[in-house]
Amino acid sequence: MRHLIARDLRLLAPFAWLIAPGHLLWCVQAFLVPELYFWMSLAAALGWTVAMLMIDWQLETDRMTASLPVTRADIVKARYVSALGGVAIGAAFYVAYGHAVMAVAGERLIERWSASPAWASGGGVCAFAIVGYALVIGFLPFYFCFGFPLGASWFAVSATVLVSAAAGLARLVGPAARLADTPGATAAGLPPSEAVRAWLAVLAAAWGLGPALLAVLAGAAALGALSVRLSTGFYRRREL
Amino acid sequence: MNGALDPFLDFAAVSKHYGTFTLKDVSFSVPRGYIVGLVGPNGAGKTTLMRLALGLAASDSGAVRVFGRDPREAGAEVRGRIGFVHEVPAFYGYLSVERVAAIVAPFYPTWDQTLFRRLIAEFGVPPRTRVSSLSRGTRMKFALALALSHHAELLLLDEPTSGLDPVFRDDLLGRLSAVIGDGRASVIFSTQIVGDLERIADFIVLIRDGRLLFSGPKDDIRDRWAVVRAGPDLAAELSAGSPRGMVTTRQGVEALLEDIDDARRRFGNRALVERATLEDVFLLCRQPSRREQ
Repeated sequence: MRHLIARDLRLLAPFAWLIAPGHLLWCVQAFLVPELYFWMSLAAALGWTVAMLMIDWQLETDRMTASLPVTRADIVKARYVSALGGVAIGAAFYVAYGHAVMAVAGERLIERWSASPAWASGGGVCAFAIVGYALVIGFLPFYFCFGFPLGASWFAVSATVLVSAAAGLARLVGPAARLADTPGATAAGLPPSEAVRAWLAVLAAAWGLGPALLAVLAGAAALGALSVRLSTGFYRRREL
Repeated sequence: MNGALDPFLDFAAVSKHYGTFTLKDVSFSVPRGYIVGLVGPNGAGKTTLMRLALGLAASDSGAVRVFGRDPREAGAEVRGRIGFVHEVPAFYGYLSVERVAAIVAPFYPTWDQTLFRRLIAEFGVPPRTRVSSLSRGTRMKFALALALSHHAELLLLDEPTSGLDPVFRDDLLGRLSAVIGDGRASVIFSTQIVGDLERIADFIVLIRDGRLLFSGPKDDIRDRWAVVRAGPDLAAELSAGSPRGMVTTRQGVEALLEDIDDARRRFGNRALVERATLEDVFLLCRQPSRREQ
């Protein structure tokens, strides 16, 4: 599997110089809408995964990879590792550039938004990691089932329906309902960092901080394992 | 060829259905140390057989065994001993030849970098050039260099000579003969160029429309098969003799028969009876081998 991860790194190496200036570009957005910075940074982090999948789709290299002495399970796991690695690198840039923005224009931003932006808090990084993780483990089973363009379309439709339903439910019954007036809240609802913090606060109040974090991690691990299992099953059945 | 000792690749009554195409009850074996030519027109099922052997697709029925293993179950182990060239070699075109090789090499414990460098030098593949800038023929040479550089025991080459100039084609065929020279490896290559088979293949597998028409030693065809060329008046008699293939025109009839001695005895004084070439078999063979039925 490590050779497959090394392959992903080699494939993206020619574009690695784009990472730092790319994130800097998103950083400019922070002066406009803080949540835009969150989403654009996340999109940039996930963009590396999408780029890898697009390369395979465009160049039809799936068959070549599957002809190498690797199992389909290895291919699937390597894609998860590469994608989550991309999210981790994106989170690091999100925090680093976010703090750079705060150092330069923090007071003006706090004054403008009447609150500290999400990236200045641990909740911001948690939200980035959780949303990024959810998107990766949600999208890859669709990719391994349907291939790149079709899988992305199915995922977009499914995710839109699911997120809309979940957001509606959260507004009615969740802690988000009590935080509706949070500064920086968008028309679509609370900023994800605030929503994540709110949900964590509810869990922590119920079970204590340690058990709540453990429960979140265990839940994420279980969902991740389920996602990998689904992807492996789908990809084993795919004919290349 | 069926029942050959120590088969590297064995298809037993394999069927596979794709949309309008059906590969039906294909059975043949590739023994160790031989070159097998898989011949058939476009859409005959050659690429499907290669994909089944690599474990990229699953058969609907029947069994595929490579080194005695199911490539869908033991794919990684099996593919580690196979060198492959796909019909359209897909590479990361924006990377250079040496970078693509650096991606592929670590997957094979038996990778021989010295051999790879020597092969691309001999094939005239520039190592620092982007793969997308290579001509189709040079890309095929690069694919062959990759396939040959890890001392594979079985080479699966899907139309490796397509897009190659005659000089390199000749060179490649010589190399394939050398690969099996020590009897350790086997080669199965598909082609539509019958001349390639005449030159190096030990065994011929002929498929058409997903059906196996013939599988056996090339010399069987050369030594035993006959083409009978006659006027239209002999068409009925030839047809009654269950030829392996027959083409009738207004000018005359050509029939492919399996026994040249019998053909000479029956038609020698009324028709032209000649030893069949592979090209005759390719053009005339229309019905499944009775041995395979």
